[in-house]
Amino acid sequence: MNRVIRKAYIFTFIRGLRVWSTYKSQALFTVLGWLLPVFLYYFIANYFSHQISDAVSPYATSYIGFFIVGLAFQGYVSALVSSLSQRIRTEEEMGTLEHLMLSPTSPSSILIYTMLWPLLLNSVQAAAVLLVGIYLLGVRLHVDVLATVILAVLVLASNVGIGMMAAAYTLFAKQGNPISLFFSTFSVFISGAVFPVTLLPAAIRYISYAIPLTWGLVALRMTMLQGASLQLVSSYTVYLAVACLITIPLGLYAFRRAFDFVRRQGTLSGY
Amino acid sequence: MAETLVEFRHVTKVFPRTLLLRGRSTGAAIEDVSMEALKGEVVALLGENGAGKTTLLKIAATLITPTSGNVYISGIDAVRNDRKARELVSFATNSDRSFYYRLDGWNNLRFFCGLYGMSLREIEENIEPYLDALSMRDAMNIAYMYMSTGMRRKLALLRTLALRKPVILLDEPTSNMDPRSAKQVASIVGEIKARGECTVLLSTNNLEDAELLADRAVILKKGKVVLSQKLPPRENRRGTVEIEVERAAYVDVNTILPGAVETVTERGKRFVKSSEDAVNELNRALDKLRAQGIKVLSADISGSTVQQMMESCVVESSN
Repeated sequence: MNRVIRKAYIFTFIRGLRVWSTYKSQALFTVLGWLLPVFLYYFIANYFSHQISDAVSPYATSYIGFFIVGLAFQGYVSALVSSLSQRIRTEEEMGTLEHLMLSPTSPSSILIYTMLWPLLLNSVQAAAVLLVGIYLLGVRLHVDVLATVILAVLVLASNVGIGMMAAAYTLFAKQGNPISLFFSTFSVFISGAVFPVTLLPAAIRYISYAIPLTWGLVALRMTMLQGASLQLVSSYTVYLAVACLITIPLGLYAFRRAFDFVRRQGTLSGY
Repeated sequence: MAETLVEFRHVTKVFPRTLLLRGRSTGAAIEDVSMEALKGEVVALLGENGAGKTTLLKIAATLITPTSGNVYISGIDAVRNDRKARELVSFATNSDRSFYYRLDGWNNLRFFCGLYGMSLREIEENIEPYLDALSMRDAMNIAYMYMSTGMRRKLALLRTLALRKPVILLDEPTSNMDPRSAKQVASIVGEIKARGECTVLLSTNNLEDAELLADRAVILKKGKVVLSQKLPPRENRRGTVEIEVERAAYVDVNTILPGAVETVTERGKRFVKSSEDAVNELNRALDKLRAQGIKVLSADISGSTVQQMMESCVVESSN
């Protein structure tokens, strides 16, 4: 147990926080990066309030509440998926990947420890977005805490495996990651983070229904804005749990295969 | 009989030409290499650039999987059970890019040794004896990006020493180091060897290091082992003895260095002799010269055993 805590500490606070804090202007611009989209969508809400309100009414009482919950949790998922592959890329470029993989800590454990820092950082992001929503933009939350916590954990867990697949792809191909692009950048638009998926063209809508985040956000809006209980969102929790059962083993398998592949190719230190 | 800690059995490694053309290859980087290293032994891997020294070390470290053949680390099959094998190995690569640039020496060691579950106190205890010897006590507080190349090499060595593993892989540990630091590193490897608990596989282009530290030299050429030879004890290794004395001094060559050839130099007289027992013969000659009060301008042994082995390999392969 001691070893697990020690490893969690070195990944989160030595490599994560310490390195992050050496970049002087990083904190400022990171916070700006979190909050600017909130204000951007706030202005969109003001200009198009009438058109958007009808579309969001099944999910939230106001468009602002709709996108605040969406942005807070989409940020988490985006960070999980993109940060793992970005981290692998950074380690490749810095030459430290060989020394990570040289240790007896298994590659999958390294990935899991690697997630801790972006998760922590994005918890701050989620909190900041929600606080701005509540105190500056007047969003009124009506939260069922238990259901929200369970859903949040399931939304994150169902994306962990996808993050591992993205990391595996980076290990294998080094540059250009379609998994990361799709689940991190593109997911803002197709997961219903900032506008309902019902507004999307039919073909794209079907893709968005296949993404765990889409269902996770629908359920989270219910538990955070309408106080829905766990019982009311049970079908969503089952869907997310099934997504976890599929994506996590698949992610672990993909990363192990990619690790074995680069060892055979001799490209572990390549970038 | 000493335990075998590293064993390569008919190991071949063929790298693909590109990632896309997997069927085509660049030829074997390592070809049918069989060798072993015993507990307490320092094995020097020698050879020209591209001979396969680093590839062989990376295979032992499980960072590269061989195309065929077996590798055993303390009896563990390192291909099938790579994670277990990694628990026994520490590796100082020859790359500058192996630490986090914005962390200082301590935090880098804290991170990388932490991957093995080590606490800061354990790390401090393990490297304390070497901090002054390597002149790294103050440098440990410097961010890696500000460290000199020599300091970076020493930090890589400290990481390896901190882990205290039975198999130590060193890839050109003294490259880019000033002569004093290189000597310190050599003396640390000598200490490890004297303790007799580890096996050190030392890839080097520095023949002096190999001569000084290794019990055995393995010479690689184009991925193949062309010579693997136990080195004779250092005190009776071959070489060419060269002694230079003042021109005015009277030296009876038959008494001082029997069989030596005498030549006149700008500064004085030089006596040169090829010897099977170079170190002892040089020491005996110096003792006699000192006893006679003759001032020695320089004394050296050139063309060491390892150098001669290397040369013989080059001659054999060109024939």
